[in-house]
Amino acid sequence: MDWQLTFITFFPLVGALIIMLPFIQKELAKWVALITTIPPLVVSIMLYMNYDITMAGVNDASTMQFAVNIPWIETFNIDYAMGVDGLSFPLVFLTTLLCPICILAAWNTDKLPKGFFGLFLLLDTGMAGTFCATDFFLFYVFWEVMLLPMYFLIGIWGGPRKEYAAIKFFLYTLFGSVFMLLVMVAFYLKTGTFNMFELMEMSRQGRFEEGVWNFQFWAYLGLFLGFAIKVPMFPFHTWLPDAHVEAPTAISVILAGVLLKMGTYGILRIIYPILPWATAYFAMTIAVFGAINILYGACCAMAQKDLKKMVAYSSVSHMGYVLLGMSVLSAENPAGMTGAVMQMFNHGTITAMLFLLVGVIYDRAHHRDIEGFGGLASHVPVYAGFTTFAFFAALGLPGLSGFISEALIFVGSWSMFPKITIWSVFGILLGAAYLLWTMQRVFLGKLNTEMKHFKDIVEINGREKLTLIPIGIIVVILGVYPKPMLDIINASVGRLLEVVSPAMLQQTAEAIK
Amino acid sequence: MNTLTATESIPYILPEIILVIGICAVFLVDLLIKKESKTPVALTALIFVVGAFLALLKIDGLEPSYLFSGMLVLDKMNVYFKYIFIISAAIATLVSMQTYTSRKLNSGEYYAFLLTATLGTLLMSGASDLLTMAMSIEVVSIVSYCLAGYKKEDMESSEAALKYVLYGALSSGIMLYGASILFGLTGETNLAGIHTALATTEVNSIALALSIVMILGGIGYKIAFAPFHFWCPDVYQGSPTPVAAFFSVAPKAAGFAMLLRFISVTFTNDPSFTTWIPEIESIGLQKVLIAISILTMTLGNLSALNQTNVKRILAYSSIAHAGYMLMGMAALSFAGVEAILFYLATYLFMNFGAFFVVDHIGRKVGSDEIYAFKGLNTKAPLLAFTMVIFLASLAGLPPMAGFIGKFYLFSALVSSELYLLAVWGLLNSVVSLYYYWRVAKAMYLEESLSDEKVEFNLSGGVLASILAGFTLILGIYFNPLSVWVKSSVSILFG
Repeated sequence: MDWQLTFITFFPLVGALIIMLPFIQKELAKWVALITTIPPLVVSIMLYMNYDITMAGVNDASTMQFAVNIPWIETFNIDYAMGVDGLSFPLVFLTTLLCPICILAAWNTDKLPKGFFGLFLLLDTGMAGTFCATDFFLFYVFWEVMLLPMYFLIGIWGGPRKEYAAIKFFLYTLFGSVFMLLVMVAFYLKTGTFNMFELMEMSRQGRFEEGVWNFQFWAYLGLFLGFAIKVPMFPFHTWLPDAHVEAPTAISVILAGVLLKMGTYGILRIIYPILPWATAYFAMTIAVFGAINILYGACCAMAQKDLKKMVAYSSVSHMGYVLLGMSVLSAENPAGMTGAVMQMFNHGTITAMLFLLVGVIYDRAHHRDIEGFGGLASHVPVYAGFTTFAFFAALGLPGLSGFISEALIFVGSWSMFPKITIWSVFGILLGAAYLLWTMQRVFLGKLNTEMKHFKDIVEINGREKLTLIPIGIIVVILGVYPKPMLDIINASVGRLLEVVSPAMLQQTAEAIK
Repeated sequence: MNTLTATESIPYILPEIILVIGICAVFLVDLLIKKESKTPVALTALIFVVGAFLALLKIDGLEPSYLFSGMLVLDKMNVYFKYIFIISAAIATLVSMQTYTSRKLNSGEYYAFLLTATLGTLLMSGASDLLTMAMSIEVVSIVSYCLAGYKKEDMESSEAALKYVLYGALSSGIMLYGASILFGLTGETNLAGIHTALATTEVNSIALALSIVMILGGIGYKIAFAPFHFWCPDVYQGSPTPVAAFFSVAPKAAGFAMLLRFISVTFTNDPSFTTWIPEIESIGLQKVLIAISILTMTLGNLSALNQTNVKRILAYSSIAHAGYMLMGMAALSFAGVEAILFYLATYLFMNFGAFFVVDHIGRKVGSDEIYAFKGLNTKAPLLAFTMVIFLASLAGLPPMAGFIGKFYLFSALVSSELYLLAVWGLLNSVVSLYYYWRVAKAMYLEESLSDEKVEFNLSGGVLASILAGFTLILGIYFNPLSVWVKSSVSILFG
């Protein structure tokens, strides 16, 4: 019985309750928030130190690490079950890392700081819980718990069209998750359990009928709708640019850095091992949608005039790589899947930097119009340096972490979907194009002294550097020496592919016949 | 089967007897106290409600029996419903104490009416004979007309009462006509007797269908399911808010209790809804219930979308919730009955809570419109916070109780293989979020029209917090309630 995951999940909630006490005033609220997000980070670093890379997890309850399992609602056989493996641990770490950073980024929130930081900590609990839960019911509860704080965080502290963006985010996600609820209930009624490992075991025994229009088919579609909206996969992505543009910086970071990963994480954690037949059946479709995401997201990003919207669409594009990588279901060739899991983490760090940097300039210039800047490199060289670093990481420069995961994804997908891979590689080109073009318009050329609020545009300050440097260090380390990350991922990815690849082989064989 | 005579039945109706004494006592106290403050009257009512609750605890363990030679019944499910009615009466009294003690209203009558309505709901849930069914519905209805029209100086209140009377009279008439047809077909008024007659003799299935539909109409008017729901928004809007809250919970729950008993005792051969009397198969009762539930929730939700009055929104939402619970009925299974019982318990707390906040705003700001809720976050943080919990629960978001209620319902539907109905219900709950969230948006996202603080006293704050606490606790740890619900599904047969 390990306490660590429970601590990571619920310590922020304790902080939220403390913030709600009447005597906690403005200044104190953010300190409480910062102080309550740091111990979970420390604990997750401890978990990293003690992480056993030989234990695979995925469908095997005994090799889940730091696991907890306490009966919760006996009448429905619901457990308070938590645990991490190679799929979830990087994301738990990412969550605990980004939360204190976001609180620093939101340090100057003037409007109702108690509410902001309280809701933020509640959101933190929801996110950490979602990644740790190994009971489907618990997972669903945490998944939905995130909705309320997110709605208010966008809706109260957002930009001009915040109300529209907040309710759109809310309704889209809820629409998806009600189908997830339905499938969850169907699983329960078929098997009498919500425990993910038991569900996987039932699946192995053939309790979920295979075949088109059969149980697996419908269950897959129901779950996938819920997860795909979160990813967000084309054509369900339209909530994302709105939510990002209106959300305050810290929330954009959380949204892109952590929340989007829940979609792909959910697919890998729940759909893949429980519904292997349907996973194999739809693998090609996912690959195609992944390629569409990559190209469509990149094209949209190129067309944007708003810096933040550009970054938001770049997220759509980068999540496409994850989709492409995880559609490669081959036990001999785990590169695609490994790349996908790694890309989830890497995108989380890189996009967090991009949004933080957009926030830095927006705080000063009070606008994000790409054309409204020009020649900033000579005016604020340090800021320009940070941005250049983040842009290079985002476009996949070798030596930075994004390159490793994207390369792995393409190595993997080439063997299985060569045509789709060829199309997708153009995404890299487009990515370089929109990022470099943006860079040129904002930083290079003659300094545009007539830009709005020119006098306010001052160099990046210490607090902002503090938010960027830790992430930057991780991006460099994983770009040069990705082994620590790969070690954690490998065993679990191998196990996951063992579960799903037989179905893929069988279906390919049938198709050839 | 255990049928008791009138004298033997007395201990079994202890809560009802206490309520009757309470009604008389309230009138007496009101006569004796001629002061402006009516708090003693309210306290008297509250004491008797608590007394009825204690009596209920006492009869909880009694053996299930038919009372008064089969006119009434006491079984596990009946006891469960009685708890719901008495708790709603207690909450309604507490909420009313905040509202109707300082006004010049003649509050003795008011509390007596409230107790009488509670008495009526207790009888409704125990009625096992067409006559007691009709009589108990009338008890609730007639008192409800008076309560709806209670604000005599208020045009809306009088209009509400008149509409209520007209609809009520019509639906009672229809129900009695249906009952007379059923009596004509079987020669019995007792539900168990009707079942025996239907099981042994062949009857004209068209006449049977007609009588069922007519009786459903009478019950449906209490539950407010479509197309018998038209009175509901006007009556809720016009009535005093605590009364509207009471209407939206107790008589509705009583209607469900009656519906459950009527359908299961009269038409099924065994308690688990597996075999039916032959005519029912040809009538297609399940299809009728599915159609009613779809119509009810969809009409309720779509009508709520454009409302600007929060009381009206809650009225339409209560119609939608009746539709959700009817899905549980349409499942025609034990799981469905369990779902209804569980849902009612969660609905009790969240709906009363939402109405309580509306009542408070209505009194302090002077309006029930959405704009009155603007900026409530800064004016009364506790009220706004609890209201968000109630709204989220009504919309069915975890970790609130309303989510667990929906979870129960959809489980029942999936196990009865009514997948499309389940999908439809889920889509409806997504739609409902939109209008609940307009209130939340006004409270948190919009600026207030005035800087005045919304005052509320300690007892109001405590009451709101308790209701919110139950709404949250039943969502996070509902094991005890679900154990209780599981043991309460047994209906007395035979």
